Amino acid sequence: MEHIADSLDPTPPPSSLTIRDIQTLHGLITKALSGKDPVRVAFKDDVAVDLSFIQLIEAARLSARNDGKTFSLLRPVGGNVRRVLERGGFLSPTNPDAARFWLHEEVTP
Amino acid sequence: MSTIDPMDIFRAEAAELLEQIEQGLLDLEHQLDDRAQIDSVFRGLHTLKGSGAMFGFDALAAFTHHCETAFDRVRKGLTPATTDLVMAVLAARDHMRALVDDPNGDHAAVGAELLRKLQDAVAGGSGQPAAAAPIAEAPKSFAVDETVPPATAGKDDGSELHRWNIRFSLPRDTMVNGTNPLALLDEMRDLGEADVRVDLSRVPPLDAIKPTELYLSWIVTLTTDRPRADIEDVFIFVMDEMTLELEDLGPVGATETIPVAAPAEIAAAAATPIAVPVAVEPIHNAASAADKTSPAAGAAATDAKAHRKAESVRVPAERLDELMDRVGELVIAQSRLTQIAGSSLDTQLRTVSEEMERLCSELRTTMMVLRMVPVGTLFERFRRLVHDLQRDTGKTIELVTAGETTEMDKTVIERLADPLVHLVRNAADHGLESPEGRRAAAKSEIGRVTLSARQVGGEVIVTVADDGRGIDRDKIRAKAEASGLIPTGAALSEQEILQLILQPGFSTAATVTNLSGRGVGMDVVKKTVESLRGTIDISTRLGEGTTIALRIPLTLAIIDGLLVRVGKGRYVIPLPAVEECLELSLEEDLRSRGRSFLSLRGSLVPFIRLREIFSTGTKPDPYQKIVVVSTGEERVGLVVDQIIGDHQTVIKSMSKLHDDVATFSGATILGDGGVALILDVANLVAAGREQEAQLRATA
Repeated sequence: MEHIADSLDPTPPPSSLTIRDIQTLHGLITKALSGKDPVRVAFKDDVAVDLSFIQLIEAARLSARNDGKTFSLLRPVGGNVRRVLERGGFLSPTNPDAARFWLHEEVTP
Repeated sequence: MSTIDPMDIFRAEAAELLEQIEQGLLDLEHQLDDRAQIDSVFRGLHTLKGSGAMFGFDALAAFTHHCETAFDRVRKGLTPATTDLVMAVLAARDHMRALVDDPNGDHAAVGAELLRKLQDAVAGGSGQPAAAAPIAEAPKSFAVDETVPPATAGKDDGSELHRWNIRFSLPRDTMVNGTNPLALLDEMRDLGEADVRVDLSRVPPLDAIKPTELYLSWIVTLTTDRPRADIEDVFIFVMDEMTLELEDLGPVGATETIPVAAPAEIAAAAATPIAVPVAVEPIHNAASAADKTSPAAGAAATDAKAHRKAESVRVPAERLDELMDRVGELVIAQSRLTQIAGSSLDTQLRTVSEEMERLCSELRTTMMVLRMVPVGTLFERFRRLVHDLQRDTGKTIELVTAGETTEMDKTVIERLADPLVHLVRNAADHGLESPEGRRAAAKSEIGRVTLSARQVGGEVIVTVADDGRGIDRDKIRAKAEASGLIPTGAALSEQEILQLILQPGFSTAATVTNLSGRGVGMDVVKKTVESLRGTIDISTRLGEGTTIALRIPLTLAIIDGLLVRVGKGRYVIPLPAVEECLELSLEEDLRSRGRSFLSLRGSLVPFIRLREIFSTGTKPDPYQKIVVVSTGEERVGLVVDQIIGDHQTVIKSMSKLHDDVATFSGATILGDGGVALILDVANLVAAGREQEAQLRATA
């Protein structure tokens, strides 16, 4: 059951998911993960995105795992985010876990 | 605590990149087939473009892109490096500087003209008519004219498909520097069939990650007929600092299936950012996480340790200044402690005081080193200046530099830049003869300008020398007399005559050029050097050349001084200027009145009674002291009442109200909280010289 909480961080989210705004994004996600569990993230498909953001999400996944928390995506990624994942080799068939997380797909290796 | 504006960081990096590009171009001009320089310029342009785009300098990125593309063609052998191309990119480099300094200015017309020249240079070098290129507002001929062979080329010419296992990790600052790893992966895909897998094992958790740094690495299985060099070429920008493992797995069998990754669309994501790209939503009772198979968390810590290595850190100069101020205050406090301990019988206090003194001294030395940069960083700029001066004067000029490793305070180096530019321009424009003139004087047609630096004691001597016509002293005297600068027939030493060229408005140049000759500048050189507590020595030989030496103290902030007392006041004499101390008995003092000369090992040295200059209104001590100070060739004795001892002096600037008080160069706070004025030795030596001249005139 999702809860679109009124406790959402009041900090306005940055306008891109790139290195220009990565410090702000880092702060936002860190704050969310330190306070709540589970945390679910959503972003638009056509937003500007680069590797720094994908790397940040991977770091957030690792932190959540270490802390026994749940961190997931509200919906499967598409558009620019998916393209960056493909170009960056994140969705290799040898890594079914990535497809589960990013695409909400079950992949049989 | 001050925060650093990312724009300032970019500007500092851009300045370095532009410097690197300029030096590379100047080297390339001498050897147009120098592959290393071609690559260096290309890398510089590429990084500047990438960083510029990342920090929002879009005009810079767009403009630089054209130059980068031009050099990419050179790199790929599609266009030869020519002098015209180098000149075009040098001019473009200056435009890039303007785009960095004023990103919102109106640079379009200038930029378009420069790109047109660049296009002509590329088209000319390629043997293609420039008109063949579609010139609109911004030329793009070399951008659309890519004729790189496709990845599959060569299959029919006997080259064999090989499979390569490639593992690479890039420097941590890759993304900050504007390099996009995705572009590297795309380039690899251009070489053949690539199976790309990211390695996440070094990505640390959120609390340990520096989000602008790159922790990802990649494993690529590439099937290509291209040679190893082409694969390595993908990493040309980052090759120096990256880790790259290239393993040739051998030829691919004809019937073997080649694994294909799924890079469906590799088009750049150019979507306009939307208002709300991300929402971090805390939820309740969500399904448990599915991902349990990630790398171990410990890997991050191990990785962080493995990557901990000696690196240089960019520190804003203001922070160094702040630190210097703190060290200065500490030195003052330590000085007070030393004074208190000195009058105490407490041995423990004395021990601690001595320890503090040692530590302060070491800290001060360390601080000084932090601010020191090689003077070569300044000299490098003059290669371009001389390059342009050759074009403007029609003379062939060789710039020789020496002593580039000599270190000086960064602030001093920055402030010396303009005076040196003026001196080098003067040397090129007026010092050196025309090629015909040099031939007539039985000299090589190539004029030589030498820039050198060396450390002598607490000073660095920066010299600009030329092997030109030299300065005609008679001409200077005549000009000075004509302009009323000196009385007709005034008795002046050779050095005094030469020093006249440092007077405002003085010029012996028959013609005024756009480079020099207006008589504006040498006085500014003098002012700047004096503001650095430096002096200028000029030597010249007619027909052989001129040497102008700037003697500059090593640092501006803290000096070793000799603390003296005159009347009730205390003063500091910079120690590097002190040659020796003598005693002046009351009898000798009385005997020497009216002459004020001291016979020192066979030579007469004028001396000045500071008590009289400072109007102390006190009687002289029975045994006064003479501190002999010098500024190189000239000496003067300063009569003081007491020599207190050496003193580490933190220089405090005088207020603007005291700008016209030439006798003092600053002030310092003593250990007891009192204030001592720092004597301006150059000024006092000049006063001694005047005194000597007057005495000679009346003798």
